[in-house]
Amino acid sequence: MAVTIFILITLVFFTLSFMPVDPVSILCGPGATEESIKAVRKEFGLDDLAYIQYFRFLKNLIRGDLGFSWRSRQPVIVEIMSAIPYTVILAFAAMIIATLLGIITGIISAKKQFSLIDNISMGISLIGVSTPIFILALIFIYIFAYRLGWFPTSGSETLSHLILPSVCLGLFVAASIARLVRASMLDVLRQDYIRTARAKGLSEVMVVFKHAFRNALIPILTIVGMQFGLLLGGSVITETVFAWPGLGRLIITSINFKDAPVLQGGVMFFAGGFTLINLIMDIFYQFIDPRIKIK
Amino acid sequence: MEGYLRALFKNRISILSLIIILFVIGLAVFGPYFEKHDPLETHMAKMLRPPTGEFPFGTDALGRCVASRIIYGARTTLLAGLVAIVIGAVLGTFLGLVSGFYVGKVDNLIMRGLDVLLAFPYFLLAVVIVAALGPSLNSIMIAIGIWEMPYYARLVRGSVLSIKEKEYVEAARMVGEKDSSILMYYILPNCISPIIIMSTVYYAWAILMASTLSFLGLGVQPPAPEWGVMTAEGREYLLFAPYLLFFPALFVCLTASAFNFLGDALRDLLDPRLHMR
Repeated sequence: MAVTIFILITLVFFTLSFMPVDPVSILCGPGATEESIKAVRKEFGLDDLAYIQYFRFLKNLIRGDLGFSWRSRQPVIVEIMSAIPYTVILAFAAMIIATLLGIITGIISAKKQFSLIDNISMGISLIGVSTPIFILALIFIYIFAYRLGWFPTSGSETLSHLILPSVCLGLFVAASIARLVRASMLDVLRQDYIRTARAKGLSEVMVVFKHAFRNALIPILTIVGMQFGLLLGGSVITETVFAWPGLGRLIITSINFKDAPVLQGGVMFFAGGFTLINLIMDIFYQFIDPRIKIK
Repeated sequence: MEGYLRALFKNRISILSLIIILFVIGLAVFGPYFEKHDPLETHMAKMLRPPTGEFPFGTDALGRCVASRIIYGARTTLLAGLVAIVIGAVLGTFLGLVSGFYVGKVDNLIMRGLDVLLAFPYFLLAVVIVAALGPSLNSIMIAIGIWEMPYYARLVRGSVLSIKEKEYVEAARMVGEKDSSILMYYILPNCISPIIIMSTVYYAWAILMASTLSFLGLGVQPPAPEWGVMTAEGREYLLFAPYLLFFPALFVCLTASAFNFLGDALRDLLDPRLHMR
């Protein structure tokens, strides 16, 4: 895992060093004097060779220093730290919505496979998988903010600002969860022990929730864990559309302003955080299913 | 493959998806010959017209014909998706073939390398690549191709692992065929049908990703007609002219859904476990 994060940091550093941008023009603005350009190049260490900049970056990274934003001249770490709580709140709220909705729909669909309700909910979820999240977000803004006026279109001041982005992101992820939960429930419902449970006269509720759902829980948790990537990636777009001041929006604005240090730091935090979540999920599986051993 | 096609035509949703796909492809290929409006031509006197006879999908804030922008946008989107999956499929298939065939160090190296790419949540990898290359149509095609590469590689590697144990591969080896020709003539042809089937789903992903990146201003640049760009432009007039959002959004969702439904049906046919009973 440490190796993955290290390679990831290296990859992001060198990929973004190709960014077609002249930092001096951003830092000094047009019409800067020769001396001030020189001073700025020295201050940000832009004249050093790429590998020297890389090692300096690593050295500072260990100390929690990600450099200074080219736009605001603030430490990058400060900008990232102030954005992270917003992303965590949004991701958490969306994950709850996605998990509940996805699992319930998936189980009902699997239980009544090929029924009308199964076809309708799987049809909707396949359309949901095929709807880019920015379109979903704009439809939500149009209906619930413009037409009905129930929620604000953008911002982050109150709890009602959170509702549209989190429902939007939640629905987007719920669609994938529902489809995968249905598939793994179908797998479990065909096992011999389910037939045994039915044969000994248990009620359908007991069969579905006690015998089937518990066994489907491991694949379902894996599925929910895998959707974290979709959720975090989707949050970048949701945050941008709803002007929610999280890490994703910070990344997109830093691209628009060609603010390489913030972009670098933001992407590393995002991908690093995702890797960490995956590791925690892996450890978690071991607790719920002793058959899984971690190498 | 013929068996699959026959089963496919029994499924009403797959047929509908095929019709939609053919319609959108037809629109992209032949549409421009029938559309009389230029997608870039502005008519200041005819700004923000709602859908009417002359402009079936209305006009945008600069008086450009939305219908013709949708038609030309279909070309951009379909082509961008196609180039992207070709890049992804070629690179991914190569890596998958090599890593499945040479188990051990090479395999390990390739798969760990691809794991790093998969460590980026969803579309962040594409964003990083586009940021490095600068926003343009070419950048998003490369970015989406690289983003889809690991999925192709994993798919192909899985097939190679089972195919290379087959007797005909053993036989080819005994006759003294070189590794490269075993991979090319004995293993690759047997990987083709899963690659094609998954490509329908990956194509849907590519279309969604291309329009998302363009919507965020990282892909195709305005004033070029592209569905994601049009959605971004329509957003500013959402309150007064919701049709500016509706039509491009409809085409993105319709096209992606059709490919997703078709891919889903094909996958069910490949994996009979899922569609039994």
